[in-house]
Amino acid sequence: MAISEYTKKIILVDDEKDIRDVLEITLADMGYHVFAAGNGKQALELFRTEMPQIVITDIKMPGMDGIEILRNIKNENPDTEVIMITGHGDTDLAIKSLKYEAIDFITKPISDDALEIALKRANEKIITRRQLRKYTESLEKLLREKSELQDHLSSLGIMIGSISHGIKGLLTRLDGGVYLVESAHTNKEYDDIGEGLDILKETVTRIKKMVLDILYYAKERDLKLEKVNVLQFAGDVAVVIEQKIDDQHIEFHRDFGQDNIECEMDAEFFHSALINILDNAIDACTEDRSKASHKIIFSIRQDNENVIFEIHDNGIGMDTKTKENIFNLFYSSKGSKGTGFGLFISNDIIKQHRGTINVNSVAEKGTYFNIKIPKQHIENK
Amino acid sequence: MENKKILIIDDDQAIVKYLEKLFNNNGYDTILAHDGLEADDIVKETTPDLITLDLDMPREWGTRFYRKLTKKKECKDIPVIVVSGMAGRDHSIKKAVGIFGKPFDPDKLMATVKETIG
Ligand SMILES: Nc1ncnc2c1ncn2[C@@H]1O[C@H](COP(=O)(O)OP(=O)(O)OP(=O)(O)O)[C@@H](O)[C@H]1O
Ligand SMILES: [Mg+2]
Repeated sequence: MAISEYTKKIILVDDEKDIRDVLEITLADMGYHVFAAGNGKQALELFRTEMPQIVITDIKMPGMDGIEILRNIKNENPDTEVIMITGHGDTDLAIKSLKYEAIDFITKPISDDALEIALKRANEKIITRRQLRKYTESLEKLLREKSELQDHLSSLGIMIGSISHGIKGLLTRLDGGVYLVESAHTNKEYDDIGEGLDILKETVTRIKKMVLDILYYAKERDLKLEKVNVLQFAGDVAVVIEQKIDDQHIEFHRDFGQDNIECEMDAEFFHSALINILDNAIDACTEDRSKASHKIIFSIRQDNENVIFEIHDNGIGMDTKTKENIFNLFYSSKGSKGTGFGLFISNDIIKQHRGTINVNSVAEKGTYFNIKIPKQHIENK
Repeated sequence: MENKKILIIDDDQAIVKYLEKLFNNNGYDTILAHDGLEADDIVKETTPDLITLDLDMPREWGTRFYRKLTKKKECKDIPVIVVSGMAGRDHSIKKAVGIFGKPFDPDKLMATVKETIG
């Protein structure tokens, strides 16, 4: 018969050539590919090169005996099934072999039936073990998937909780804005209409930002890298921030230098990353009533490999507890004014760019962010 | 007769304005606080007839303010209405005369206010 890798290999060990020859023919007839060995040393060598699933060995042999072969084999590969051949009166040895986990023993003279029964046992054990391993593997996989799903669900749960809280506040503001406009109308206090409209406008802006944040979080697309002129890019960011600051008593200072810097980045994502940080700087200044004037400095530098963005503000600063939590999703100290998306997303975007973000902040004094990304994007290994 | 006074506590300026207008239009006077600490100072000087309280505020949580309030003997009988996005999740405001989630129904809120202080 053809020998394929699916043909089962058996190593047959017996010091008597006659017995080996007879058994080899019987086993070959049963469909096995037989490797015969006349002693223990030869048997173990064959075992290592052929890696059979079944070994049949005589128990009493000069030199290394069957028990020792059994122990060696079980030691090297416990999944191998070993059938012992015993003579009359070898009961003690036979029992000992079972202790070392031989699957069965057959007594001389060997009948085909006894051989077949022993082999059937061995094969059944092999199949059961294989199935068991498959079950265990799929069970482990299932458990892993379940815990991943659980993580996902619980973060989704936190997410929905936080967002719905935020959305409830925003909806109430919309109600409020509309009510103020209507009330100004009915009471003919036309000057008050502006107040209602301002609330509506600001709320719509915040709803937009929140929806974009959620979309970013839900989407997690790959970076769309392009070569970007950094000065131009930073200029666009600065304009957005300057418009936001507008009439507040905060001075915004660009410190871009003259260098022409090119950097590979996802401009849309990185734009949001910086805006989130600058937004926080504005909040920190607006909230701070302890200083007469406020200043935000946005600067850009480069070294050989990196572009470095720096954002200074002299706003409220952070205490230690806040500093430890700022990158956590949904961590916010701003009550109804914050969701805690901003820095989580910035951090994520910067990491995707293989960059770093560092913070230095002193309560009541101010905060400094340092963001560094490689000019040439580094691919993931 | 003097109008009844309602103390509004919410960290969201827009919602404070909304409640203020709503109460003024219905014939009540209002005092405004943007967090629990501000509200603390106010109740030291005046005793409002009713308080509306947001729970989720920076600096001082609504529940903590409430706990402190109910410990003062001249304040502990002031009726409190909770108006909060977190309403329903917090059971520490047991004696509130009303609990409204956000967004709230202004007619129902006014009904509760009228029922409580006339
Ligand atoms: N420049 C800063 N000065 C002081 N505190 C800051 C500054 N930047 C961030 N923080 C602190 O970090 C927290 C988390 O910031 P993050 O941008 O993630 O959320 P948020 O601004 O509260 O809400 P969102 O950005 O979703 O509107 C803030 O609530 C604030 O406490
Ligand atoms: Mg923010």
